[in-house]
Amino acid sequence: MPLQQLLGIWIAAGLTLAIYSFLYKDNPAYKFAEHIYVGITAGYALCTAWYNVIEPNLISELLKANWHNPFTALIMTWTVIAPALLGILMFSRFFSKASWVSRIPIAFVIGAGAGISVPNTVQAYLIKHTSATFAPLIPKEAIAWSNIMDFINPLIVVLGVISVLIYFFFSIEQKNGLKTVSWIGIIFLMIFFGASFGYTVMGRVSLVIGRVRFLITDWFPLITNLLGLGS
Amino acid sequence: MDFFKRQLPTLLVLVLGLGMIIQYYIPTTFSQQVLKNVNLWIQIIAAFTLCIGITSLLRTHYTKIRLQHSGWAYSIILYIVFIAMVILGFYRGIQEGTPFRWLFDYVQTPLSSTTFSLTAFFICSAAYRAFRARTMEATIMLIAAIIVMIGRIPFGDMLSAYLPSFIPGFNDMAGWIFNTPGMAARRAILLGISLGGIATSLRIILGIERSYQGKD
Amino acid sequence: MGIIQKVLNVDRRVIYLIVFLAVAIPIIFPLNLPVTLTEEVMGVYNEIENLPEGSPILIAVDYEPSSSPELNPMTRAILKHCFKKNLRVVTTTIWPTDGSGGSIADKLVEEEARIAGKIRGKDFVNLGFKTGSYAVVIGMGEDFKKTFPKDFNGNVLDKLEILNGTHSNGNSESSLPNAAFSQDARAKKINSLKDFSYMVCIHDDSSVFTWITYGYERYGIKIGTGCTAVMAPGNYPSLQAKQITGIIGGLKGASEYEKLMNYRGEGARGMDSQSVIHVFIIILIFLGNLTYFILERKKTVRG
Repeated sequence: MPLQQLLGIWIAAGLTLAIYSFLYKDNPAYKFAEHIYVGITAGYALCTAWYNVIEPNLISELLKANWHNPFTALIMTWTVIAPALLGILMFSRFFSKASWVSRIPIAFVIGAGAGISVPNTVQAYLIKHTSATFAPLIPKEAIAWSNIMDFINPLIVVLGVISVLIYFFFSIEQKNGLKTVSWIGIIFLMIFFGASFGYTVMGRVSLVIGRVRFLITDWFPLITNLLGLGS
Repeated sequence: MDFFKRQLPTLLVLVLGLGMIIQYYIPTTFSQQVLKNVNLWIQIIAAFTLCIGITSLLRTHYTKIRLQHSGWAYSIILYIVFIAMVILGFYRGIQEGTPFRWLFDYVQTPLSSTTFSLTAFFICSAAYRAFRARTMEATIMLIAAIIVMIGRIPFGDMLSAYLPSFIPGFNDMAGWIFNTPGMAARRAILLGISLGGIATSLRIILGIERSYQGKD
Repeated sequence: MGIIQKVLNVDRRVIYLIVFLAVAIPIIFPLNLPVTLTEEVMGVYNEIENLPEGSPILIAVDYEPSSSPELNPMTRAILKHCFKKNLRVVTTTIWPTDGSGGSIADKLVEEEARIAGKIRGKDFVNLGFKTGSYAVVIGMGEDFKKTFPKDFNGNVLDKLEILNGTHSNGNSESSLPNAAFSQDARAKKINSLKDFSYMVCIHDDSSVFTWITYGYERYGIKIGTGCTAVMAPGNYPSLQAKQITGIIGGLKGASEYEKLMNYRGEGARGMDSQSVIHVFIIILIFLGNLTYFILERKKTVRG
């Protein structure tokens, strides 16, 4: 096994155990590992931002232009210089007297984002999902009695969507019939939350499986080899 | 000055917001070009935003070190690791086989996945202590959770073989929960979020909602 | 304190230890439990299976290292499938914001390509990460190479064979037995999201909604999803609305895909531990409720 891999496995195992030591109680080993994690993630993010965005989409574009003729070069590259300047303006947040300047790039991102999202959300969710809720109520072909659930399920979906939406609708007092429908909505939500809980358990456990598998299959053999117990 | 502080950002949001909505419904060559450029700008600004986040984190820890708050020594470790990662990244690149990638594979990845896996232990403990069938609603939630947990593991299939033929297997029951009542509830949530998102976006565009501008 | 009270107040660390053992023992002594297939996973598998050789496929590795143990198995299985089918594989990431998906994708695609004998730049490329989330998706739809002028390793995208549609059959000249051979698929240039025959978004957050809202609805790219189990229930409305073709949910989904690919990888092996731990949690819930109700009953009788 190459030395760098060997060293890597020992370090990874040590850090894994340091994090798991938190399960016993909070301790310096956990805090040490936790701060390494934050530091390394921040360092990673900075390098990725440079190599994946700033260098290819900004610096390279600037270097492509012929700067011997600055006027032409500026015209050629203003579409990258302008957002870069806006980006730099964001740093004004760290200076209390000039922090208002950062509102301009924020306004650009928020304004464009809001404008782009409205029609797309209407299309992708409001229209599509409303239609997908009601369309199955009218089957394209005749349903056999043996497949009676194909008829019942769309009805359950419609009932579920409407009742949950009514439950969310707080603008009027919910009493009598509305209260009953709202209660049905709660039942649908409980089923969803229960199912989500089941899947959340599944997801979180898979992470433990991954780490324990690493300790058992990658790290333990190194210990046994070190102690001379390996085959 | 007030124009630059308040009106200009509001105006910018209004023009860009309405412009992008119009662009969607009336796509022309010019508007497509505008969209392309606006997108490129957002990508570049977002990269700087990422740097703002990192700077903010470093400033917080710098203050901690300077004022020697409790645990300040850990902040020094954070700085050392951050600087090491950045130097290695800029010196040798981020490709496969570089020290940067070695740190990613053997330090960042295990730390990240182990930290998040802690929640599995907490969930198990919480399930034991708090998941009670106190009310009818809680009982329904509990039953749904158990069906999904049994239905999505091989053991559930083995157990289903012992059920009477008229009762569907646990896997089928779990599938039905996800595809029918669960899906209906989630869709209603999604529709609620969409309506809320659209309303907020319109409030921002029209200048009614200006919390993004912060305080003076 | 009575025995029931003691059971109810058991030290949390005892539970943690049992959880650890319940995970570890099946890893040391595998149970090799069988895996059953679901329609959701077939929805992704069938789409890829039916693509003609040489078709461009986009794989968005939108997850952090924290989700690697859960999502890497399915990413590997999907990559194996794509390489087996001689598809042109393009990987990218728009989430998380630190761009760590870029390195994950690079590692996995490199390893799987090495096994399949595929060449970087010709059979596969990792585009890496871009900031801007939805702006990246729109950018890819409008002007692919302007959004990604270079790949993750700094190679100029315009010069890569994979995007210019001159892809050959790699090193395996013999076509797959039932694969629909299509010269058109191989000749297809990639200038926009529209040019991809299919995409799989593997995510641990809500990036799939960005791909659906902008990628599918605006540029019509067909999407399949792979996600953490936590995210899976949230994708069912989109599945029913036919915005996505299938869902590979968590380790269970990965184990199914591995079965379809005829191998037993980390997904299937993980299902042994998963089974034991689920049964353990159900017992915990049952025990917790039982002791609680016994105590409540006692209180009522005394009261």
